[in-house]
Amino acid sequence: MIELKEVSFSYNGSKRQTLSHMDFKIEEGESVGIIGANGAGKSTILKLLVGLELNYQGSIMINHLKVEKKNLQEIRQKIGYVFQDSDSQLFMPTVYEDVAFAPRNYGFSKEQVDKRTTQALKSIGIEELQDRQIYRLSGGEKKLASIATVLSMKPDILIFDEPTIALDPRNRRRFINILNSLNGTKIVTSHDLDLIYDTCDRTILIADRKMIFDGDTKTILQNNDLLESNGLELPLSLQKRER
Amino acid sequence: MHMADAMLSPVVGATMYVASGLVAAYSIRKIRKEEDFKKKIPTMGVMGAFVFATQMVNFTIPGTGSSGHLCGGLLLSSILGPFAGFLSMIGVLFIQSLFFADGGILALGANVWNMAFYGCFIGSLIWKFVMKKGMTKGRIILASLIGCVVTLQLGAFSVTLETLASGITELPFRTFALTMQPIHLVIGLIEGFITATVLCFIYEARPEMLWNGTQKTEQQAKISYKKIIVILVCLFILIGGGISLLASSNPDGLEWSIEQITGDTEIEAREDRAYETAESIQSATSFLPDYTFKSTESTIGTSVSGIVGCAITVAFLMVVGYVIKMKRKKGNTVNEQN
Amino acid sequence: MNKIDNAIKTIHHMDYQANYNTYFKKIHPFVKLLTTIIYIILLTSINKYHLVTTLAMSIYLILISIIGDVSIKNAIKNLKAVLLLLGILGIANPILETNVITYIGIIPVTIGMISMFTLLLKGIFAILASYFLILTTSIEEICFALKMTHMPNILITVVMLIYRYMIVFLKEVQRIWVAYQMRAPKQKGVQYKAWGSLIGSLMLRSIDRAQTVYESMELRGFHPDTFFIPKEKVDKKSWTYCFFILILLIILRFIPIFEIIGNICI
Repeated sequence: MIELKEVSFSYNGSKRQTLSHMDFKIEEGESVGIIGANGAGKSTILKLLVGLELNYQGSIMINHLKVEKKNLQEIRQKIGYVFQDSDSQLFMPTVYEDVAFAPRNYGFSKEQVDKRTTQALKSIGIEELQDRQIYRLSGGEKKLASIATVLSMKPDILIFDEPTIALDPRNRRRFINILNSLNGTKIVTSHDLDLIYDTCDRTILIADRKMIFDGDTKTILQNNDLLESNGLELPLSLQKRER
Repeated sequence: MHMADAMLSPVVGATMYVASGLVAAYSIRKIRKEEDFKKKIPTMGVMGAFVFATQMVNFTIPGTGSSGHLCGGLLLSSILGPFAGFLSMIGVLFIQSLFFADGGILALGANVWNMAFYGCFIGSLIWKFVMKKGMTKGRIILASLIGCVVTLQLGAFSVTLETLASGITELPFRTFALTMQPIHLVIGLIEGFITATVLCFIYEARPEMLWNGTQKTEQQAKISYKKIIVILVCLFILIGGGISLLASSNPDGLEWSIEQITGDTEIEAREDRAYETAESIQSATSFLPDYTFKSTESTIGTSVSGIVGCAITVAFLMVVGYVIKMKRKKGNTVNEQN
Repeated sequence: MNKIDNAIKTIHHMDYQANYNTYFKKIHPFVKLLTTIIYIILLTSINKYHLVTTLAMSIYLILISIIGDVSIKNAIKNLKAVLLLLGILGIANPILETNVITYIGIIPVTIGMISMFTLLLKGIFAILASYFLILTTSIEEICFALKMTHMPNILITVVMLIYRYMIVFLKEVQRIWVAYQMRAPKQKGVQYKAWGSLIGSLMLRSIDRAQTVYESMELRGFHPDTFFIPKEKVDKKSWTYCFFILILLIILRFIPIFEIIGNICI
């Protein structure tokens, strides 16, 4: 469970607030999309959830633990964060080493690490890539591998930051299927509204540092006026063909 | 500037390994004490890779057909500070030696010393000294130029010393040094300019990125540079020791080898006499015996070289001493103000 | 810029070789590293006039290239720069050491010539030895081997990261260079006006990337001391290999087999 109460935040030294008075609650097992134009503060929310930025006002609770320095290790073990840029996510030489990185760091035994790694690779369907060098992977493979790297932690909460940005249509479809097959709480930020439409039941719209809308995905994604006034457009699949 | 394995004898190679190893161990200890030490490690890796890649970019030098490249050590330590910069350079040199035949496994210690140690530590001493009164664009250019020239000169001089101490060439010290130093003066100036333009760009875009050397590490840094001097002095003694070792072992080897090649004892005897006369003059005058014992002219060259080498060493230590003195003075005034 | 293309190609080639080399994959990386270092030490310690012993050391390289099925062709490209360097150094020897020791036909052979050839050969052999090492051992394996020598974790981590991101940046530089060249044809290198901004902006991006890499490591429980680098014990087979190679090297280095063979033949 994730709970934000009256959360405001501005980056170090900057006077401008990046987020102001965010207030929402995500129950276990929900899939939530966070949408908004470039620079609306989507990524910042994600960074706050995992405690990469700690100087915020208000309170953020993850599974009843407040996000602060002393709880960080426990919280981070429960959250799998898939970065926008796969090249930053994958830093070990081979796929296997990278997927095994987290369980090793959390002190599991050799057998456990092996089991978790194989399981994670299998659930994504990339067992055959395990001995491959990272730089030999294609963009799509890199994305899939980076999901595996957090699945090996067996997190309760999965966070995806702009996941489809480097994917071709086929890999995008594959990604959506994988995403829908995964259990647990999922949070996806994107301006690919079709992706949100296909994967999330609930959507939060952010614009100008504030929360504009929080509710059913279908309702908001069909509301052209609301989307356009906040720098977004209807999902392609819902746009009526002109001509 | 990368030395190949064949340019070094194992004794000199090992000596340089010990020297560089000591500095590396010390740097690791230093880094561990830094507040954001965990964060520094990925930064060291990524920045090392950056330097590696950008060293492959050719920069056209206006008015000439030739090109130059970046001065990695100074660039890294101007962002990361000397200790992290040094470790990062070791990684770069290690990979260069394995994959691109730039340097070699045996020569790694020497290359780390000649490029990373001078580039990062002496480079950042100069950087710190120039930036003492605050950072400006002019000072960045000045520091980059002086830094690159000085560190390259020191590096080139070390290459000369290490090669000669290894006894692989018959070049007299003076000729060798007189070829190496001016070439590297030009290279240093060019690299300094390139590095300066990059650092100026960073200064305009993100000035907080640049290491100013005066932050919270002030107190520690004072101690650390003292220790570096101690290491330096130890090193000169070590290198000196290595050279004398070689000097004592080489003549036997020479006789033996000529006998092996020719089987002619007459030549051997002739060589022997020539060597003895040379040696008697040499041992009295020279700081670096061993590399010129064939003709009387080069014997004179040696004694000159001994004086030159001595003068450079002394001058270098004096400069370092002066910098430390200035630093202490500054530290005192700060304390008084407080 | 050819240099960058070549670098990327070299890395790909070596990686491919190291991963598909069937025979040497079974030998523990630590042993491979150890034998290579010993070879280079023995090689460089040869007296500078001892051409014959230096030549004898080539036997090890020939053996490795045969057993490991690695070609020397690609290595030759890497040799150019080093040969030039050693050539400049070595050329002084024939000029300064003019004592004639023998004649081949009517051509006099001086000790300077001998020491020059010895130097060049040593240079070539040392490079080939490390080239064979990297052709038969991947960088991860070398890192594991370094871990066994108690090299500090921090340094190994840095080496691994440099290797990982080296290619990312090489490709980035390549793209920047292509973009630059399309708008500035007929230039061999980057013009001085663009020096700072071109590399500087790449540098800022690198710094930002370093930040995200750190965050991604941090979120997965990174700590430099517990950073995992696997260690595998050296098995019997590898020790046997090590033993035989050492014996071979000692024979080549200290017993004048070439002379013995020569004497027998004459």
